Amino acid sequence: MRQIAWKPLALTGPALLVYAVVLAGPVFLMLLLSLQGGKGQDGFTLAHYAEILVDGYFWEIYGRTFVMALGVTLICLLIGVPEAYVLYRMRAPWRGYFLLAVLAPLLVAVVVRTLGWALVLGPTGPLSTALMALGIVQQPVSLLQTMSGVVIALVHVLVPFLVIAVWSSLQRFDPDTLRAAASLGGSDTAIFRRVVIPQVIPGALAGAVVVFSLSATAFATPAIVGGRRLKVVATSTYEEFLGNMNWQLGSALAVLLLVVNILVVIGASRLVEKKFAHVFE
Amino acid sequence: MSFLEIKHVTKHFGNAVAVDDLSLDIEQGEFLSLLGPSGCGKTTTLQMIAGFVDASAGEIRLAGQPLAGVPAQKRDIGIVFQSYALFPHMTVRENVAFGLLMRKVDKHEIGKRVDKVLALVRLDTLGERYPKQLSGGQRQRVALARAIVIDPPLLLLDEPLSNLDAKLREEMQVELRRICRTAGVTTILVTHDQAEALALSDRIAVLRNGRLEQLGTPSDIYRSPATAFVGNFIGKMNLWDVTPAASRDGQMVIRAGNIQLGASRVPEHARGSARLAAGIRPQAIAFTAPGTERLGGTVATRVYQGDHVLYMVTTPLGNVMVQAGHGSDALRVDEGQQVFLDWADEDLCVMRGDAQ
Repeated sequence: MRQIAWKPLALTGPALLVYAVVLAGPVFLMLLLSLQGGKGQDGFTLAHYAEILVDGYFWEIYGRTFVMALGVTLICLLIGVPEAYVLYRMRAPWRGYFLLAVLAPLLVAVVVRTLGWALVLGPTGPLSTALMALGIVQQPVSLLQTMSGVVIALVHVLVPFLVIAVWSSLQRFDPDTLRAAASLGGSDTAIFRRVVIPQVIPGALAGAVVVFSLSATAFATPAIVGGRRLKVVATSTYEEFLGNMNWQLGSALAVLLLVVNILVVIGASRLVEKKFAHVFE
Repeated sequence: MSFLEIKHVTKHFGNAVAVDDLSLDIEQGEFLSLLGPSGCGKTTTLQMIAGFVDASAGEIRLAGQPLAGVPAQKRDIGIVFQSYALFPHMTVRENVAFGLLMRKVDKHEIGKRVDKVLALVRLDTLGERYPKQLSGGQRQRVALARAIVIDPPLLLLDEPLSNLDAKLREEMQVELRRICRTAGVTTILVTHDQAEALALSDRIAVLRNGRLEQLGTPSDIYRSPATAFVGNFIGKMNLWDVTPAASRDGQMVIRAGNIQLGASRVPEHARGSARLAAGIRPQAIAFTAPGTERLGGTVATRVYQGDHVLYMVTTPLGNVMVQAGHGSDALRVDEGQQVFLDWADEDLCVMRGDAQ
C-alpha cells in the first residue's frame, strides 16, 4: 500500500487551504450562479450560456477582448524580449536601475496609473499637444475610447511580466554561446535571431501567457481608458452585475472568459513542452 | 615573421595587471600551450587573440596583419570554450553548420563539409541529436567540429578537457592530438593541467602573474626548467636554494647549506640571477649503500601508487620525495627506516631561484 506523504501535505496544506477558500470558492459560487434560472425559478439551466452564444453583441465583445489581449501580447513580446536582452547585456550598476524602471509601473496603483494615461491620451493631453506642435495633426486628437489607447495603457503595465519571464530564462543562458556565435562569424542581428531568441522562447511564451490572461481579464484600463463605447468581457460582466442586476448572465460571461483563458494557457504550455522539451530539461 | 606574433602585450583590469608585457611567436601548424595556474593571464591572452578583450598595450598580428580593431566576427578564429557553449536549441549538425551558414556557403557544400568534419571527430551517427542528449566527451567533439569546420587559420582551445573525468580526459587528449594534426591547424591550448600540456604540445609557454616564465618544448621544460616555479609546476621536483661554489672544470659545485648536492653547469638563463635554486626529480633519486650517499635521512611516509612507490624522506635539507619504480629494490623500504640517497650529477637542474 502506498504511504501518504504527510510531511509535504502538512507543509503545503495551509497554502492550499487559502487557495481553496479565496480562489476556488468564489469561482465555484460563480459557476453555480451562472447555472441558476431567473428570480423564483428552481433548478439548473444553461439558458444564460445559450443567451450569450446566440447574441452577436456578446460575440463582438468576446472578439474585441480576444483581439485586444492578442495585440497587447504581441506588442509586449516585441518590446519585452529585446528589452530583457538589453538589460541582460548591461553592466552592474545600470542593470539594477533600468530593471527597477521597467518594474516601476507595477509599483503604482492601478487607478492612479490608468487615470494618468487618460490624462496623457486625452484631447488636451501632452500627446495631442505634441502631435499638433509637430504639425502631424491639425485638430486635437484623443486616444480615449479607442482600442489603441487601451492597448497602449495595458502594454505599459504588462510589459514587466514579460521582461521578468524572459529575464529568468536568460539566467540559464550561457553567455559563451554569444561569443561562440560571434567567433563563427555571426553578425549581431544573426546572433540575436538565431541564438538568443530560440533560447528565450520558452520564457517568452510563459510571459506571453501571463500577459494574455491578464489583459483578457483587465478591468480598470478598459473601463477608464476605453469607457462605455469600448466594452470588453470584464467591463460587461461588471455592467451585468451592477448595472442590469443580472447576476446570472454576468456569472456566465465570467465563467466563459475563464474557460477560454484556461484553454489558451494549457494550449500554450503544451506547445512549449512539445517543441522545446529537448532544449531544456 | 611568425604566423601569430604577440608583441609586448599588456592588459590591465582597473589596477590589476592580467597580462604583463607578454611576447610570443607561434609558427604555422604549431600546437602551443599556454600553461599556468589560475590568474596567470592565460585566458586573458586567449581572449585578446580571439577579439573578446582589447589589449591595453602591445600588438597582436596574425599572418602579418594586425588584429587590433578587427572584431571577433571577422577574425575567422575557431574557438572551443571551456563550457563548450553549444547552441542548445540546435542539433549536432546545425551546431556544426552554423559557421558555414554565417559565411553563406551553399547548402550542398555545407552538407558535405559537415559530414566530413563529423567523420573526423567520429560523431557521424549522432548528427540529429541535441546537445542535452550527448555525453560530455561527445559535446566536446561537437564543439571542436564546430570550430574547425570553418577552416580557421588558428584554433583556440580554452581548458577544453577540464570538464571531463580523468579517464575520458586521457582518451580525449589522444583524440584532440589526432584531430588537430589531421586538420593541420595552428592551435593554442590554454590549460592549467601540466600533463595535458606535456602530452599535446609542440611547445609550451609557462605563464605566471601575467609574465612569460619559460617557453620551450615539453621535454625542455620538463628536463631543464628555467625557474623554480616551472620546476615545481611541471611534474614533481625537490627544490633547494643553493649557492654555487668553486669551479671544477667548467662546472660549479652546488651546495645547499653545508651539503654538497653535486657538480653542474649553471645554465645561461640562470647566470646573474640573485638567487639560484637546484632541483631533482623524485624518480632520479636512488637508495644507495651507507657511505656512498649524497644525503641521508629517514623514511617518514611510504605511499604505494601501483606502478611506483613514493617515499617522503626526512633529511637535513627538509622533506625529499623519492620515487621508486618497478624492478627496483627500493620498493620494500619501510617507514621509519634509515636510508641513503644518491643521484647522478646530470640529473641535478640549476635554475633561477625563488624556492620555498
